[in-house]
Amino acid sequence: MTLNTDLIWILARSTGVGSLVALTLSVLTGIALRTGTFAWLSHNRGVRVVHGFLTVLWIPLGLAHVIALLFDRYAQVGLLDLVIPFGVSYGRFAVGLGTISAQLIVVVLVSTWMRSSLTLGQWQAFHRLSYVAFVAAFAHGILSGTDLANPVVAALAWITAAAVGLVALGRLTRIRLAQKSTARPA
Amino acid sequence: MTDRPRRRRPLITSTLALRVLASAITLSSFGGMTVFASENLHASNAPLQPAAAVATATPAPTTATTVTTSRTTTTQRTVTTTSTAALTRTKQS
Repeated sequence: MTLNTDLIWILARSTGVGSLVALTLSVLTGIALRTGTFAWLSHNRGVRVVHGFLTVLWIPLGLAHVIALLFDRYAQVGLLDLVIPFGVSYGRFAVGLGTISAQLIVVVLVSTWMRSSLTLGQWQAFHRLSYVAFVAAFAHGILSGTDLANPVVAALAWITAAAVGLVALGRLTRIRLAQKSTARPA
Repeated sequence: MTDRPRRRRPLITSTLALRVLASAITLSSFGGMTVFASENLHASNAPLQPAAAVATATPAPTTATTVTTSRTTTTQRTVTTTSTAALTRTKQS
């Protein structure tokens, strides 16, 4: 009984961190497709392949994280809490952010699978929700994560946020510069 | 003749190598965290603490007194009786 409870708790934490890292890589490679941030590392086709491949990593890890929390007797997350956020008694806001993140990720995934039946604008609008999902997942990890007192875990968490923040800022700067150059009179 | 600017060759050209790299980063963080979590089951300075764990960690002070009271009662029960008159007869009576 104790072993199972401990095993569930260990899995909930490790899959949470693992899925956050994989999600970070996915977001980074997604932004890099437009900005060429990883041009030094690989060509765009390679980055695109990795961006798609990363779903194979973060979907199972994310699912395992949710399933482990469903069985965790302290977290007391029910099936209904996966649909309705901020309903749990333990860490209401922090766990609720995780629910929102998971729901947004599902929307992004479904829109990706339905890409052929969507316009480019619709697909982009849905796909940009992954930024919000990442922020919610990161805040969920920071607010409910029990291991952030450890410097290595804390460093890992903040590195993921810094990496996405920097690459996203780089993309925004490029967009601004492009807009300025087109608006400038000849 | 003018020199055309040459594009630098990226570090990794194989997509398989890229996939292996992405898997290695993810799985090493997952594996490392599994080892860390199994060695540190409970973080006392975590931002969120489960209510049930806090409740079980502090012993209830009332149980000690209850035990003492019940012990006293038990001792009192065992003493009593042997107050009946002696029915010994002698030659004089």
